[in-house]
Amino acid sequence: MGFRVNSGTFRPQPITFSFDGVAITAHPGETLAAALIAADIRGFRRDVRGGLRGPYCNMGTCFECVLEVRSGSSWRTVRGCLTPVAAGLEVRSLRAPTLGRSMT
Amino acid sequence: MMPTDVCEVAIVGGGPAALAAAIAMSAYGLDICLIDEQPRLGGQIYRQPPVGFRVQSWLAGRVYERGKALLGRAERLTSLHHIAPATVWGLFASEPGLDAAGGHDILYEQDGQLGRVRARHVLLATGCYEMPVPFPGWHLPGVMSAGGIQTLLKSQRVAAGGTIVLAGSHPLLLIAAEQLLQAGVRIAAVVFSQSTRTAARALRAPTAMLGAFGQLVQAGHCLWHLRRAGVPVLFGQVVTEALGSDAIEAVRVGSSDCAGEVREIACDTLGLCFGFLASSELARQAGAQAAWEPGGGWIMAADPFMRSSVHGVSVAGELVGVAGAEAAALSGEIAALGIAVDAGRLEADAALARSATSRRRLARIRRFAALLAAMSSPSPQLLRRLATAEALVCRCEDVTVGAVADALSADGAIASASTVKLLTRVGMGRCQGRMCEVSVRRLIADCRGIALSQVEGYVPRAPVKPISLGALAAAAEMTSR
Repeated sequence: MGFRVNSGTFRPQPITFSFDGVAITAHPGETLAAALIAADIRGFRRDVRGGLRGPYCNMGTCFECVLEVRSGSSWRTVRGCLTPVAAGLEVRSLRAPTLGRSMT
Repeated sequence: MMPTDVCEVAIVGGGPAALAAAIAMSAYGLDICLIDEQPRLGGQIYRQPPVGFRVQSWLAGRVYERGKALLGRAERLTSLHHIAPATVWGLFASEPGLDAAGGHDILYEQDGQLGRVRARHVLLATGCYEMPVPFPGWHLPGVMSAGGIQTLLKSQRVAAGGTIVLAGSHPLLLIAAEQLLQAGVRIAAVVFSQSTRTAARALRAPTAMLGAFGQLVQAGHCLWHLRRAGVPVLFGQVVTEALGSDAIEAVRVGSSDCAGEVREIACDTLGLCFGFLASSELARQAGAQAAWEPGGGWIMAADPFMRSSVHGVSVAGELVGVAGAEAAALSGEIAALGIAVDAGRLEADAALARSATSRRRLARIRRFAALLAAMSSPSPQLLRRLATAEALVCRCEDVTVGAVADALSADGAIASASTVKLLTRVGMGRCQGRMCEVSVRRLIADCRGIALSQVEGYVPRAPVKPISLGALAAAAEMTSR
């Protein structure tokens, strides 16, 4: 499983955000992808066939790590590898696009 | 009207080409907007830890010294307006008459809002990404590009897994493996598709040029370290399948030439690198000419000052040939001198004289890079063997190699990636075809018996990266007010 490399690393005080309702501890400055991988969560979304998908390129090119963050009353689709964690942020995995589901 | 910044020069990208260009331009008093997707300067190669982190021995080693110096100088520039993190999605000639600046409009999205930079001169330095190579199971969580695993470690200080296999054909695998090993990761194996003979040639033959190519020396050192630490470094072997249900649990490894036994190696993460493709979608969307090069993808046509075929748009870094960080910085500097000429700040003769040394160095590195690309590219036969019918070719739309093959055999007239796209949905997903175009074109080339360079790709269109309808609607509302 993924882990934080602590030797020679100073991180700011941890905060928590939620992923699919579960509290995740992270450090300000970390991306959602990094924080979730460090928490051993590697499935960020479901593909059309129902399989799990997770980060591939970690630089915004592949869009495999897309997930949703709450923005007011709606949810915004973002790339996990480019989106920083924030205290209290609500994050959820992205289900496969199906008819009848809003794609906000 | 959406927020608009007007400046003389706009640079897209934050890696070595962009940094060297910004530094060179600032000497001519040009004001610069630099737009980049990462929050901090450095690109992928010098990707910095987040603000608030302190990392001892970040990018340790002599090979990174020049880059770190470049980064330091660029960060001190006062003439640089840094717009980041922002995703550029389009580049268009400015509508005439809106204001005096003319030139081009660069459209970007930042935190769900659209913005625009209007500049007379544009420099695109958008880098490259690892060439995607489809094989069964490569879509499983835990399978990543080796560069992705590396940036996660060097910037975020997170190891992608506890037991990692690295596989492919590029020396970057050795560098990534060594860095991961030092971070406390167990490297289950490093798997090179080339035979030891080819690899030895790559490490030995160009000794005369090694001074110009620290990266390969670094790879050699890493190989030695890995071997000493007992890490199996295999040559002439290939990962033919990633196994697992919700995430990768093991890889199947066999001989590159199909002979011998197939065995399984347990791992929780697999890192892949089969070479790189230029990330030239934005330049091509703007209408600039490109040609397919086997070691680098769609490479932009450029004049001696790195001007593309579109007036006012220059290109640098991996867009003019995938040749690594030092070459990127040199091309960025040369492009900057060209822009200084176009902006009336420098005589053309002086610019030529001033860039002479850089040109010579660039030419030398490029010769070496061509050799490296030839030795580190997977063979077409190997790629064909890996791309079995069940392997996903388009990861966004979940289209298999088999589905593309069926479409091609159903209609013998299909000869372009765009037609396959219409029939199968390949390339219609969020990544806009970056992850599948080369593979789809390869399938067409193989099926029709023509060269890969002869198969047209998808037509790059704006938005080159997806933007939300909400952001577009908000911008339209602001415009109509």
